[in-house]
Amino acid sequence: MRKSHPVIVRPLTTWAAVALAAMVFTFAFASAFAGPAGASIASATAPATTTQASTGPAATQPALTASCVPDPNSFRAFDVPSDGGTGILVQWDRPAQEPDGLTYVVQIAPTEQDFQAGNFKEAPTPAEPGKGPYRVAISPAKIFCPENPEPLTADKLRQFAERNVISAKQLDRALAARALINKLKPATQPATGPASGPATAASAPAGPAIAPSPAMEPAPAEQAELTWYNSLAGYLISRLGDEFQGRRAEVNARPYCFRLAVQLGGRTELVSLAGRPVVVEASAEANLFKWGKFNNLVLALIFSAIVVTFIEIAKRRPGLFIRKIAGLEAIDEAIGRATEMDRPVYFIHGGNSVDNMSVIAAVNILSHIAYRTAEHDSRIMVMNQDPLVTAVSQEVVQQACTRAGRPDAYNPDNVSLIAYEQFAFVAAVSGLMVREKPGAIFMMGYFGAESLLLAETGSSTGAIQVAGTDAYTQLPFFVTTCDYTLMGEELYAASAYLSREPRLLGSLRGQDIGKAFIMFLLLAGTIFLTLAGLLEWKVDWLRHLFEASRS
Amino acid sequence: MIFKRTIPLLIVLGIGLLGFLQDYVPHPWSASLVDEMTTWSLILGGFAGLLGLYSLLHMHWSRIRRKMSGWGYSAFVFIGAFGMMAVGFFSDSIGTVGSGPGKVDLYNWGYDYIYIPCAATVFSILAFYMASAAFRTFRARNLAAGLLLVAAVIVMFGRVPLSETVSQWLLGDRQIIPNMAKAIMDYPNLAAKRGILLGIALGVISQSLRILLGIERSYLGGGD
Repeated sequence: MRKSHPVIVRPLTTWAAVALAAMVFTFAFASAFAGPAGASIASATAPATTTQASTGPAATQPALTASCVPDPNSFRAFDVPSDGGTGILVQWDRPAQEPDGLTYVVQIAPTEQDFQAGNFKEAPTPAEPGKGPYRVAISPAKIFCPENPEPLTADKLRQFAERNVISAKQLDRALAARALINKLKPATQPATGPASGPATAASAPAGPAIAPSPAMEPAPAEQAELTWYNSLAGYLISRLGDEFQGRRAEVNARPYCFRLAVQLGGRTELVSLAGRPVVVEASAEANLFKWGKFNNLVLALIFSAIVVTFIEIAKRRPGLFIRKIAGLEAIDEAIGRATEMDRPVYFIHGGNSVDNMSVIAAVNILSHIAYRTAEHDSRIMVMNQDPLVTAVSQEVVQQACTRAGRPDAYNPDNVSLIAYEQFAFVAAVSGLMVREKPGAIFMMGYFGAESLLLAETGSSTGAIQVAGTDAYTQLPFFVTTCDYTLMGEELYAASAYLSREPRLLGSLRGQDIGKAFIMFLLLAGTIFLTLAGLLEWKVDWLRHLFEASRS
Repeated sequence: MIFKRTIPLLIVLGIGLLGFLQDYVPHPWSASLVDEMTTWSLILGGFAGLLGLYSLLHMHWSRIRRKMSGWGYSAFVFIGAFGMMAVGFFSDSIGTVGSGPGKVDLYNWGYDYIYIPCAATVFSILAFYMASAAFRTFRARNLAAGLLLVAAVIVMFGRVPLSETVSQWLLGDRQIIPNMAKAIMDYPNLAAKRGILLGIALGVISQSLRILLGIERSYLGGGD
């Protein structure tokens, strides 16, 4: 059983392969002789590095004059847009002069009166070469809150007991466990504080020490106490973490006042208007939309619109042409062969759970294969690595058997969890393959290192193998060892293709149009940016148009 | 029909749209919704674990009862599963195994000294399978396979230090073969990889739409 191509297509494919290979090798040779691709980029960015390096301490410090102070009217503070309420943006225009060593200092305080009382924090920003205003994002929680949650101390345990988070009995037991930890630990360093959690609980120092002493072994009963304490400490530390995050959110939500100062050569000058320092106020607010992802949303909606349009077209005009996918055409043939040989059909799921789209795609294909198998009165074995996928697969196979008019064909033992661990799964499935010699094997979903182990074993049993995966690193293994391979998107197209339902086929056509659209954009973008580089056009807008915020 | 089709499809539509929109909403409500959904999936996963265990043990028990081919291996499933459970439950009473830094309780010892070596053994077989698969693939039966062979030889050879010496000896520059290998990986290989990834992304969006719109129902068992 091997793939075959029409006679007319073969010479075209060969010539296309020759042309592609010639381009690839010419390019590879040219690149090899030209040296690494990064060299030109490195030299292009060299001047910028040199400019930064030259901004060291000046031999003679220039004076802080009025021209070094930014325009007081340009000093503003506002909520950072498109965030979850964690930042305030402070902005000011560049002054006429920015001598070397000039530093801007943003002063932040809860109220204006706090500035007079000297009760404020500072965020220094060194002057940098460039154009446009300075924008500094300030998170009040980072300034006014400690960096980490408080450690779990004996006092904290007592507070938890007072708040009835733990009982008095649990408090006594926890304090005894902490004393035990201190007793067991080798005295290698002076005590600096109590244990803060499960990881560090066992390393809590006992007290000042002169010489290191070996750690003492806990008795089994003591070990049980330590295990209990570590579990309790883990819970309490996660509670402390939640409370800490709550406090940070509260601190971020308050309004804050800002002043701007300029520092040079030990002198500090506040940005003032009519003799009074300019104070601006702002608060961080939780926003409802990430505008940095607007372009991403628009593209997703455009693509969705294309797919929905073609679904509607397919409803009105059934019989839409869809390109042939050889791997899916072979499914009936493989099941038929297994039936003729009186051997079982194996369906092997990949490694993810049902929250992954490749698993949903595999389950959709399973539904069709189980239906066909039931029609052919053949036996299907579904191998699962995940309990949730097992439960879904059992339901899908049972429904498929019922649809085929053979509810008696469903046997829950044939749709089973094999093993949760990757290589235990491989060993069990390989053993089953060798003993039962299946007639057809379908491997669908996301696979890791198990792909080649399973496919080679399956190949040695003489079964027809059809694999489908979106794990591109495993595709070469499947292509080598299986009769047919569904590559990437074909896995997602399979269910629609097999069902022949007009609306589903319409979505496939929409998917292909979307792909053509992206190919056009890539080609046009490459040509445009190449021309822009040659003709020195400013094309930052194009980058911004397609650059999506990752946050 | 309402309970078997309509309500599940409405749940899928609602949760699917929430999952889509939360990616564009930075508000803390959005983050807490994701946390809540993660917690629910963990709870469901816990119950599914019990179902999976039942499914596994039931299947192997059936194989033993019917004396099916290889039923002895099924007996090992019971020995392994119940043995590890017993050791886990009574770990504190049993005490530790080994000495010095390798001293662990029996439960962890079983994992470290039985399961891990077995898994490593299975993984190591991959090297032999790779060699066998490479032998079959690289046989230059036609032009495409021949080109694949040449590209593979350049990439494999270009990634070992000996290639620098051979480059110097044959072509007078130490970096020619390593650079060729790098160029093949950086340009044609990367382009193909990104093409596949773009196709996958579009496939995922298309399938998601089919599921959200209720057109694709195979995952519910198929049919109407």
